[in-house]
Amino acid sequence: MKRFLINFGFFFAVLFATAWCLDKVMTDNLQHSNARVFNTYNVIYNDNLKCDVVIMGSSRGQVQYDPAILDSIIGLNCYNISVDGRCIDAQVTMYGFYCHHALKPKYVIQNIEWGTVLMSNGYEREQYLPYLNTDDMYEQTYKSEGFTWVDRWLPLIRYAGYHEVIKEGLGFKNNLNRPVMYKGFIPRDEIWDGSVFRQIDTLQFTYNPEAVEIFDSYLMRCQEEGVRVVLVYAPIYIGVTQKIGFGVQEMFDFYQSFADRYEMPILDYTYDSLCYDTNFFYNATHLNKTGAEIFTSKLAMDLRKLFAE
Amino acid sequence: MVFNSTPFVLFFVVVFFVYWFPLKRTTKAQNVFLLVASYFFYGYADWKMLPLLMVATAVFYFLGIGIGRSESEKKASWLRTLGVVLGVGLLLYFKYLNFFIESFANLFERIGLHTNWHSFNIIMPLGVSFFTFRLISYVLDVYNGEVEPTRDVVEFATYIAFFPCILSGPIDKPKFISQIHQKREFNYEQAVDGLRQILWGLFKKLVVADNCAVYVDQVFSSYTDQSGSALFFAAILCSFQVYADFSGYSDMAIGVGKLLGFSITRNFNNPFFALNVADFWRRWHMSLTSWITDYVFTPLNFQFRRWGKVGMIMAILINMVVVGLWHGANWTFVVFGLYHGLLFVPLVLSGAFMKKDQLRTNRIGLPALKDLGGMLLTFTLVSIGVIIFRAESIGQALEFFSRIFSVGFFSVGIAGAGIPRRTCLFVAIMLVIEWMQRNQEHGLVLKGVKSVFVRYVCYFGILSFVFMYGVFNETFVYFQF
Amino acid sequence: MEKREIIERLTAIFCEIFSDNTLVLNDDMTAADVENWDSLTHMMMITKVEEVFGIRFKLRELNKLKNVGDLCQIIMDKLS
Repeated sequence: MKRFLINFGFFFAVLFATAWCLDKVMTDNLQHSNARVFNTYNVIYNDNLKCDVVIMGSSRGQVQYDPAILDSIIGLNCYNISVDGRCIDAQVTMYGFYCHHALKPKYVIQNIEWGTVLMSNGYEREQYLPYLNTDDMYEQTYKSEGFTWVDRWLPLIRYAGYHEVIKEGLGFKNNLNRPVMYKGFIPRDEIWDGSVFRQIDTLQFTYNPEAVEIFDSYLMRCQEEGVRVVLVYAPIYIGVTQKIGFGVQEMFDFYQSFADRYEMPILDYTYDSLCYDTNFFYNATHLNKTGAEIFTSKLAMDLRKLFAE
Repeated sequence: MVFNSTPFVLFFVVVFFVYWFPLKRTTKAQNVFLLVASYFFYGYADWKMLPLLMVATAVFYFLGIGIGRSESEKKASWLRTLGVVLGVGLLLYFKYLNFFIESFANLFERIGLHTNWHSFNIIMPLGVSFFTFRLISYVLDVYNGEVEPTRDVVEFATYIAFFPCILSGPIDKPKFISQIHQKREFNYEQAVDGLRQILWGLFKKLVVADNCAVYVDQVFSSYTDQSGSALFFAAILCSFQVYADFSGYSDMAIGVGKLLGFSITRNFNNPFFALNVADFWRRWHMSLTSWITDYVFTPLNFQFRRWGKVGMIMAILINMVVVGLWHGANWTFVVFGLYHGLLFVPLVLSGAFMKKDQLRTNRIGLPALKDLGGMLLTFTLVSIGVIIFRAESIGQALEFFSRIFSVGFFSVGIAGAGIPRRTCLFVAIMLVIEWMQRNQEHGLVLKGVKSVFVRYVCYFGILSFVFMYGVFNETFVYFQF
Repeated sequence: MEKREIIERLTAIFCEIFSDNTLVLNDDMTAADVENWDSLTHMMMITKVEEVFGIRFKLRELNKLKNVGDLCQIIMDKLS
């Protein structure tokens, strides 16, 4: 038994030391990675951002709001911190991270849609891994992303199974996505693909009580800290709105109640002229580069008016 | 609490130290502790069913004693029958009642009789297929004089609920009780071998099985949109998935047993190197095959002995249907069993049924050409069976088959699942290692390797595969059975 | 019937069923000692024994057989 414990202890010590060193190397590399999943977090963490406006949203936030255009028209410094594929819970996590590491913004442009006030499904949860060894990030994410104390306190284990991320962390060639990004914005220079529209039958406005609570306390926090929030319905291909309706009226009523409570303006582009032309979209719910530029210009003009009030 | 989870690791570290340090001297105390740990383990997964397990254990304990004390053959035989009826009844009630109700209701519906039968809301206790088999074999073995009825209820209950085996086997025979009765000595070689076996099991489960699962699930869930080659590949990978999943879990169970000083029965012996289907079943889920052979096949074969080969074929067919149904209450499993039973027929007729051929190798250590042909044929037959096994209904299985050949084989399907090259590589690694280690108990036996450095390279090599390519979501295919 | 005679008859049965004319039976012989003695031939052998000696076994009795000696004993018990 003694021999067993000594040998196993030695094995475990070697394993632990290796894991600890690898963790250091990988975490450091990943915190400087420019891969899409890590980029926004890394910029916020490393670059001392001082922005007046942050844009919050899901993929529809990420590909539709161009900070360059907003900057030039409003004359304020904007950054797009949208999180691809994620609902309000992950967006608020990002916002919290932003406020912790960068200067608090004056305005938040919050993209809202049918699926904003839901809990995310863990899509690309690897985005949190490089920062999971901090209390802030762990507290914020462990419930919704299913992290445990093992991920928080033991070295390396949290990366297990994410082979592309591991390769990135160790400096090997990998397949992580690295699109052109400008201040968190990803222009998609693509033409219309109708397949999403054909399969979109299940689109429906819904909300989840837990997510509503997150949404509410986030808005309350902004109000308390004097950050002005503007809610925006970005354009969506009109076919979607007409074909299935997805509970549009219910959605309007839902967000209107929050707008009234927190005295937030809502800008609505659901029926904007852009929505009638598939040339501006790459699929039913996402504007392409051209569409995004036009939309952002219109939005910027409206915001300029709004901020001037 | 599956073996590759944090709660289990913590649980087992505590069990290991309490078992080997404070309780080392008294086997009785160790056994009480093992029983408490096993009930905790079972209750952690499914506490509502714990009373059922305890009551069933108590009943069979007394049945065992009753059979042992019976002065007349008649009484012993009666008690044995009672035990079998209770055990089978337990299984039938929890696992098959709804299936029978639905099947009969359907049948009557077809012949024009309308029934008002409803299925019940029955929750199946975890591991019921495994522990009822242990209970049944106990009364049978006591009756047949294979084992003495145990007077120690703790030993008996530990045998039934032994935590490494309760959820997913292997199904040890009642002879295992003698291991619980005896004093266990900590054995360095055995414990280290156990750890290696666990590591090998982890590799098979997390790297091979779960990566296969990703592809197989994708193709099976959209099989109407897939190309013939994708379907064909999914069927092949599905065989490897089921094998790697279940044998990986068994390896972990056996490894955990070794760390506590037990030798749990072997469950797999490289089934993919089987030369024919009979050989396959001698190598696949061996503890189940051996159970069914002893308690179903042999009695049937004995009953039918006057009919020669026909009797034997009958016995095999019934036997294989039981094996099939054991996997679940669905007609697909019946057909799966029947299919395998039929594959035995030519083997019985030709006399190849019982031949235990040694695997032959050629000059460079690969299987001899003739053997390779047998292996490939067996594998193909088994993979066809796996489609039936995996499908949700017989109709789906048939459609799956017809699509493999009717849809353009090399065309890209609409859903376009390509060939998962990386997963194929994992399967290949597993097969090469198992071929090299085919005469060993598991893939990571390192008896001949003297150099510590080389051993560490093996351990860390496997660990890095698990770390990089493991799928961490804690499901085992065999838990549902 | 004497044990010698039983062994003689058994030897004939064994040689036929296990297709080996050189088999010499002794009390300690088990299935492991005979090449073709498997579950199929075992059952054929049992059937043949029942036929030749005009007796019937129970499964439980067969389960207790450990070697050829046990088999002789049980045949003697049945015949007496």
